[in-house]
Parts: sequence; C-alpha cells; structure tokens
Amino acid sequence: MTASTPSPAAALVEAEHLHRAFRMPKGQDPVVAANDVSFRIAAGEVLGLVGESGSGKSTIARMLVGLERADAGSLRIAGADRFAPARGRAGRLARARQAQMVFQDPYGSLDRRLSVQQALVAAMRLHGIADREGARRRAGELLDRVRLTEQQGALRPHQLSGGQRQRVAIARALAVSPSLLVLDEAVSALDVSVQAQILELVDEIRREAGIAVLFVSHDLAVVDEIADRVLVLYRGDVVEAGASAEVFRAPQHPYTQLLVSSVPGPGWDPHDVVARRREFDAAR
Amino acid sequence: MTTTATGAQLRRDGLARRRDPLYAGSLAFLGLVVLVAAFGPLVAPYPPDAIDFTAIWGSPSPAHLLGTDQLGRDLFSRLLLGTRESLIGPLALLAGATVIGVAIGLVAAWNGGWVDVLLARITDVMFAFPGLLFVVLVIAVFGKGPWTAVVALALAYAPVIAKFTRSIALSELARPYVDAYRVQGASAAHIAVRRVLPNMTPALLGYLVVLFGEGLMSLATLSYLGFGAQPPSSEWGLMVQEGQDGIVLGHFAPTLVPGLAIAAVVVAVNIVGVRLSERLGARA
Repeated sequence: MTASTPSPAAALVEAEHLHRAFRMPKGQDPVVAANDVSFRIAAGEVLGLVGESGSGKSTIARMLVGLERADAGSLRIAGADRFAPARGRAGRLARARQAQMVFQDPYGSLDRRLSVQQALVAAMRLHGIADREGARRRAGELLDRVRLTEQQGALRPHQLSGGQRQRVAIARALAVSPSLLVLDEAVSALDVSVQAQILELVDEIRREAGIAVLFVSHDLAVVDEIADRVLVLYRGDVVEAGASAEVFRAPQHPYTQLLVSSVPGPGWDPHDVVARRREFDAAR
Repeated sequence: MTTTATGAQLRRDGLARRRDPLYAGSLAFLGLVVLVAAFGPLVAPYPPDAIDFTAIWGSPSPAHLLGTDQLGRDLFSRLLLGTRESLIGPLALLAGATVIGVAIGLVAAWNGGWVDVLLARITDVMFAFPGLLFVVLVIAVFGKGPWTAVVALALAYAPVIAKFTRSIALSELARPYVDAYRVQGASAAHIAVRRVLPNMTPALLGYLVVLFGEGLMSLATLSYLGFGAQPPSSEWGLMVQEGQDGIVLGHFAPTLVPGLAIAAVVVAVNIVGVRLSERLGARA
C-alpha cells in the first residue's frame, strides 16, 4: 500500500508508450484507445485502471493478454517482449502462462459444454501441467481455493450463479499458474455482496501467490478497495496516476475530480453531475 | 452424481412440457424405416427382381400384398428392398456435403477478411447456378449412376451448409469463451474444431436432418429422370418412373406405393428436424 512506484528491477510488467488507434468509417476521426500509456506492475501488486466506457481500459487489458495489438510502444512481462510473434506452440503456451484474463461476462466466457472440472483439467492438460489424474487433483485444489465445492465442480456453467461462474473463471485463469492476472470489469456484472466476495478472493490470491493483478473497472469504489495504485484513463490518455488512496481522496486532474464527484453518495445530485460533465466536455 | 440427477430432471421436464404426438409418431415411423432398411431383405417375401409374367399389373392380394408391376415383380418386396438404397444415398450425400460445407463455413467465419469474401463469392456462384442443372452437368461429364448423382448433389448442397455454418459460427465466435481459449494459448485449429464446433452441433444437427429430407427427394428426382439409380434397382424414385406406364392403364399402385413412401419419409424427417432444432436450440 505504499505510494512510491516499485523500482524498475522489481517490475513484472513494463508497458512503455503504448499507442493504439481504431480506424473509423470514412469521414470520422480515428478513436484513440491508448495514447502514450506507460506503467509498471510489480509482482504481488494490484494496479487499478479506471475510466468511463470508451476510455480505452479494455484495449489495454486485452493488449496485456495478447488479444489486441499496439500501433506503437513496447510491452514486456518478466522481461519477455509480448509484441514479438510467438515462436510455435511452446512459445504460445509460455506466453499464456505469463498473463491470464478474467472477462466481464461470467457466462459467455466459460465453455457451456464443459463442466467446471473439465474446463480446469482441459486448461492444465493443454499446458501439460500434470497427467490426467494429477490435473484432476489440482482442479480440486483450485476449486477449494476459489471456495467452490467438489459437487459444484461437476456442474456446467448454466447451473451456477454469476458469482460462482466468476470464481470458475478465476480458477481457470489460475490453473496455468500465471504471473499476471488481468480482470477486465470482472465484478461489474455481479451484485454488491458477491462483488465483495470476489474482491476478497482476488486480494487473497495476490497475497498468497504473489501474482500481479491489473484490475480494470469503471467502478471507483471497487478499485479503491482493491488497488494499491491506480491509473486514470481518459480517451486513451493517462490523466492521473498514483497511490489509489491519494488519487481518490485528493484528485488533481479535472477529469478525476469529475469521476470522483460523480460517484453516488450523500448529497449527490444527478443534475449537478450532468452539468459539470457538460462543462468539462466544453472545456476540452 | 449431481449432474446425472439434474440432467435426468431436465430431460424429464422437457418431455413433460412438450408432449408432442406428431414428433413421437414421426420418430417411431423413421425408426421403423431404418429397421426395414436394415432387415428388409430378411422379411421380403420375394426377390426384388423376380419376374412373373403371369401376374403383370396385379392388384393387391394375399400373394402380393401391394400388387405387382409391369413385369409382375412384387411391389411389397421391391419397396422393402429399395429402402436401404433410398436412405443410404441421401445419407452419403449429406455426409459429403457436411464435411465440405462445415469446413468452408468455419474457415470463412474464423478468418474473416479476404478469405471470407473469397469463399462467399465461390458459394454465391454455386448458389446462382441452378442445382439440378449443375448435377445434370456433372452426370453428363462423369456418366450416370447412383454414385455420380450422390457426389454431384453433395457438391450442390455444400454451399447451403457452408452459408448456414458460417452464420452460426460467427455468432459462436463472438462469445468471450473463444477469447478465453486464445488467452489460454490454444491454437486456432484446436479452438475451432475441438471447442467451437461441438458447441455448434445442436444447431447444425436440426438443420441437417431437414436437409436429409431434401436430399432424399433430390436423389429420387434424379433417379426418376433416369440419372440416378439404374434398373433393376428398386430405388423408390426409379420405381415411380417405371410404374408410370401403368397409370394410363388404370394401375396406380406401382407409382403410388413408392411415391407415398418418399412423401411419408420426407414429411416425417422434416417434422423431426424442425422439432429437433427447436429443442436443441432451446437447451443450448
């Protein structure tokens, strides 16, 4: 929970000057999803990435797991260049073990044909982590770790609740023992009490396994809860970065101030928020 | 144990909710047809090509249950023995068309871009070309016979299946679990064939069953036109054609019997196919 940036030597993820623009249909300006974005994440650290929808959060998250490319910039995880083409099957799998992702939609991101147990075993078998028997045993441990029972392990996604599905997604990500876990709006579709359970679980995992976490969310309260440091993204630009306690208690940039004051709470007035938003957009 | 219990529950609920005599009847009828195809030769009272000039255009009698044709051959025996050829043809044509069509559709949907455009153009050309004309052309080049007809029809049906496969594959590939497999490091071929295709089978299966009815009709048409099965075969389409001379003489049975058999199987197959895609679609 320290405010200081970890020393470069300790950084697991090193993102330098990431840039990505999406071409739009003729006559429209390209949408910039990432503009000169640089950040580091140390092992065992939780970096929060906040911003409104369309600010480029998901694009950056997807870059980290190789689902999105960058126009410029470099990205290294544990010193390995993520943008160089993977060399063959072994290279692809090694890369997958560096970074895993938990998606927003807890139902759609699970294969509906496979039971929880089968999904976990399939992930481990793909990576040759254990033989069939060992994988099954490890699947049991993973289920235990995300607090699902053996019985629930035999169920298929449609038989589970949203929170349980997201636990499965986390277990599946952990199955290949990644060094970085990317959670892209992973608790946004869940109700508040379930959110708290998942956050607690993520916190426990990073403490016990020393996994670095990139936590992407539009929900400031949630990010404040879990992140050590936070990056505020506005239309692809990092407008503010720092320890989450400082950023949320004393926001410096007008956009962060706007975001913080937009969170519903005592004395919160929607008209006021809309008016200030209009002012902010006009000033830009 | 929990899965099997819930699975049985679901199945029981499904049946109870949709008690459907038409579906059950069609299924039972098709089951009977398959039994006849398998064991018909053991049941048939006469060989299919046993000519009896003393019993030409015979009416139904205890000796000939459905009467006889222009050569005095027993219609009942010919009907039973023709079942196998009449069913295997469309099955083989569907198998061929499915392999080609699903491969094209899946590759087009997965790759998108120019591959998709190219394959769409090819299937468009195949669509624009009248199916029957195409088939007759193939037969003109390779000579007539039951297998030429099957191969030609398989080629004519492939684009239909490709288009259908492409459309359901596109919606399937948009699901986040496909991204999850990518992040896991699985290869494109592995994801497409081992993961996505099985999730598409329910939708495909219902469609293929309906197409089976169409295939049966197309093959019977070709045989009727003289391009498919050749005498002395008792393929149903050919039987209709051979019995035609009797109509002028007032003997309807030789055309009516195989004609009704074709109609009954096609109708039953369509009912089963439509219901099947409804059920499987609802469960997916």
